[in-house]
Parts: sequence; C-alpha cells; structure tokens
Amino acid sequence: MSAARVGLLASLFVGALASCDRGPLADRATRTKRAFGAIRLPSNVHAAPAFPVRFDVGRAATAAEIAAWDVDVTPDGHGLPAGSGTPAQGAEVFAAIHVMVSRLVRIPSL
Amino acid sequence: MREDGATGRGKGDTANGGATNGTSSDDAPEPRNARVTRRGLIAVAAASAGGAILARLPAEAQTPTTRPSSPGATTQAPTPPPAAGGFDLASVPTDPTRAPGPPTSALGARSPFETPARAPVGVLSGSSYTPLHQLTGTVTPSDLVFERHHAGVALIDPAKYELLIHGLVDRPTVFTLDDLRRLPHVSLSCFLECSGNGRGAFKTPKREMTPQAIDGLTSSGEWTGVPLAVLFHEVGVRRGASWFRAEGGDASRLSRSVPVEKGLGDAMIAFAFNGEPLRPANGYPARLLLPGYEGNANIKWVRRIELADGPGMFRDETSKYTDPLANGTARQFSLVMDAKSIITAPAHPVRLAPNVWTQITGIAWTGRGKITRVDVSTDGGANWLVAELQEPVMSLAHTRFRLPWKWDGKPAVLMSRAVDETGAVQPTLAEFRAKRGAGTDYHFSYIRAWVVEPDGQVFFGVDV
Repeated sequence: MSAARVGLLASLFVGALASCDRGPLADRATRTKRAFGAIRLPSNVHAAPAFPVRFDVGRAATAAEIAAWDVDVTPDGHGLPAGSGTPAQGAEVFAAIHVMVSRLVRIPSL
Repeated sequence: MREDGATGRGKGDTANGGATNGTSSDDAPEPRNARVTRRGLIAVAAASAGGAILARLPAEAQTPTTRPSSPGATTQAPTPPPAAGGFDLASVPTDPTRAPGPPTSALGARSPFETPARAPVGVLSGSSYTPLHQLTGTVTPSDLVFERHHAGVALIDPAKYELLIHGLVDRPTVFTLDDLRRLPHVSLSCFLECSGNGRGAFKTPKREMTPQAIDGLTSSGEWTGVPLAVLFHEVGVRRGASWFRAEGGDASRLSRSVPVEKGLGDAMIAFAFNGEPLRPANGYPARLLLPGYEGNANIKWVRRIELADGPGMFRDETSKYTDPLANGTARQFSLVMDAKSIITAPAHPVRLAPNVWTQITGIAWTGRGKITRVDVSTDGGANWLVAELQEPVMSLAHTRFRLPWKWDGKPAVLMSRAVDETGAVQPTLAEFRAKRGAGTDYHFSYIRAWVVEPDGQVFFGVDV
C-alpha cells in the first residue's frame, strides 16, 4: 500500500510541477514546494515498508498430505480413486448400497 | 430480494436443523476472583449488609473464622455455583450506598437482572438464535452470536491447527495458526446471517413469535483475520483458478465453493471476533469470513482451501442452498444476502401503553454494501416515515434505525423497509411469494410486520 501511495504522491508532485510552467500559474511550483515542506516528516520518521513479494510464511505441503485430505469427487468424476469392474457390476453395487443406507438413515431428497 | 444472483448462487442454509449449542465452552460460567484480602473481608463483615455479600464469596476466599471447618474434613464444603459471574439477586442490597459491593473479578458478568439467552434447537445439527429483542446498538455480544452447526461444535487444539491451500497454485502450503497471526491482519465489521434465517416465520408463522424466533440467525460484530488475498498471493494462485473450495475441520467437513474474486476481495481467514479469539461455536481457531455472503459459505474451523476451475458441487450446493423460482428454474450460488430489516422494539411479547412516547427501533442489513434508508410504517404500509440511521453506517454490518412514536391506542401495524446503496428495496411478502417458487427454503428477506392489538399487545404479523 505504501509503495502505491508513494507512487501516487510522486506522480501528483510531478504533475503539479509540470502544470506550473503554464503561464498564469507560474508561481504554483513555489506554492507546491511550500505546501510539501510544511508537511515534511521529521527526518527520523519514514514511510512503512511496502509488502514484500512474499512473506515466506508457512511450509510446503507434501503430496501425501494433500492426498490424505483431498478426497472430494466432482460431478465429472475427478477425484475418484482408480477402480475396476463393469458398468453392470457398478449398478448392482450402487443399488445394494442405496437400499442398505436408506434403511438406516433418512436421505434428503435431491 | 435477490434478483440477480450476480455473484453467487448457492448458498447457505442454516437452520435446517438445530443447532447444537448445548454446552459449548462459551456458555460456561465464569470463574470468580478468589483474591480477596482478609482486611477486605473484615471490612465487609463489619458492614450491615456484609453477611449477604460474604455468603456470595467463593469458599476458598473465606476465612476460617467465618467458616469453621471440621477437623476431619478433607474436602471443601460444596458451595452452590453462583449465578453467571457471581452476582445473584439475593445479594442485591436495598441501599447500595450503605455497603461496599463485591470485589473485582477476572471475567465480567452481566447484572443478575439481565438474562439474555440464545434459543437453541437441535443437537448435533442445529442452531441457536440470537435474542435480537434483548439487544441494542449494532454489535452482538460474543456469547449471544447465533450458532448453526452440522456436526456439533468442533473443539480444536490451536497448536495442532493447520490450513492447507492447494490446487491451482504454484506453492501448495500448510499454514499454522502462528503463521496466520504473523501475516498482516485487518479488522472489519460485518453481519453474518444464516441463509435460512426466517424459515420458521415463513413456513410455520405464529403470532407469538419474537424477533429472536423470526430472525435470530443473524449477528454482527468486528472480525479480525488475514485477508485471503494475502494467502492467495503467498501460495501463487494460477491463471485459470476461478473458484476456491473451502472445507471445514468439523465432523461434517462442511464444504462450499466461492468465486475466486471474493477471495481476492474482502474475504479473510478470521481468528478473532469482538476483540478476542473466536468462540469455539463460531469457528475457533480460524474460519472463512465472506462479508455479505450467506452464513453457510463462511466455513468454520476451515482446514482446506483448494483453488480450482469450477465449483465443487458439494452437497450443500446441490440438494440445498438453491432458490427455486416462480418460472420453474432454480438459482444456484445465490451467495449474497439481500437487503433486509426487522423492528426489534416494540415487538412481541411487549405490551404498549397508549398515548405515551416510545421508540420504534430495529436493525437493517444488506450483503451489497451500505444501508442507505430505512422506512417505517405504522399503518401496514399505506404510509412510510424515514427512520434515523445510527452513524457510522458500516458497509455489510447491522445498521440500527430508530423513530420516535406515540401509539394512539388504535389498531396499528408496524413495518420496516430497508433500502441499500445499490437501490435494492426490501420486498413485501406478496412480492416475495410472486417471485419465488414452491419449496423456497432460503433468503427470506421480505418485510416483517408487527400487529398492535387494541389492548396494546404486540404480535407478529402473520400474512400481513
């Protein structure tokens, strides 16, 4: 933020100086300098540092860590573990599980 | 009402079940200050009301001379637990200027005359409602913030807490709580509302409903945390990442998808509320905070964020948190909460006296920025008065409105209508019904009404 602010101030300052060269406003540069001088900070007060490119906080996640938690499956099937069998076998398993589960818990309708 | 669904669709429910509230640690009685000097005790005992005060002091603070102990006793005599914080009605002196009061304490307590309470519903999957009619101003006390849990309150050791950010990022990273606290953090005030707030009043309205029962699933206060944008920058979000999927660390592992723009905007990983670490029921030690978005998407106890090229289509984005429309389609990812308001006083169960001045007051809020106006009607919407808004009006936070009023003793119907900076106007119940399809289950943002009976009794305006 401070970097952006410093840049903005600098551009305003340059712009102000440039506009001073135009005829009737010739004394603006002097006034601008006075204005900036009036708000100049004491020499031991400095602008806050800009954000670094990175803070280097945190540690690299391992592939095993990610695999252990990233178990959700998207509608396109991404995230499914490697499987085997045929569609017919799958339909059988699907039906069996849903009959079993529906006897145990109330499944919200979709 | 939300008609665009601009940013999101889909969203959060809330009160489907009940909240668990039960015995979360924030409900535990506060410890009392046991540091009481002998001289102080003597002084107290010398006072006329001293006996009553002394009886309220913790047993360990009492001197042997005032509490003779039997020689064989190895354990302290059981003392009945004091009322919250140690103040109880029995100890209130008739003249508080005639005797010193109780000592300072480690944790504050409410006056024994004030007993605000949440209204819990359900057990593992349930909610508890903020007592809106017992509160003033715009900040919700931390122990009265509403709850909505899907598998109880997760109790997490902060030393073991980890947040994993992975997927379409350059550097998959694990952050500890200390890591998060080291990063730049900011504070902002915003409301958090369950997207199912108002369901009971819409589906099973009763005249005896209080503001708490109608809309108690909203709370507001100051949150502190790390902007998600800082974390995204830290891990290097890749081009093509358009959504992020957040997963909670509770037993339901509640998961929701959010457009990545929100993560680069005002979203944060919050670790504090109202100046102190989050309460367990609100996501301790860290949660996702999405200002203006429905509560359900603000994943508590967040442990994993995956950057991806689309939403995860989790359970709470398919079978739930969609808005069926009148034209037979449904709106998904309707994440932004609508402009809404409710009068919290006078409201049921208050009984008004005629021809005396009172103040109509309530709260208004919107997920699209600032509330710009609240209109109040005392004649059922035929005429409206512009209420005064409490300054400063903060974007995305509860905004207090008020209006002086003298009830003339004739039947009256009180209503409030919020307008936000995008021009959105809180709809009437009829307008709401016309736009929503059968089975509407979320985002009940229509105008609430209070009916004042001839005897002054105030009831919730069912079907008004």
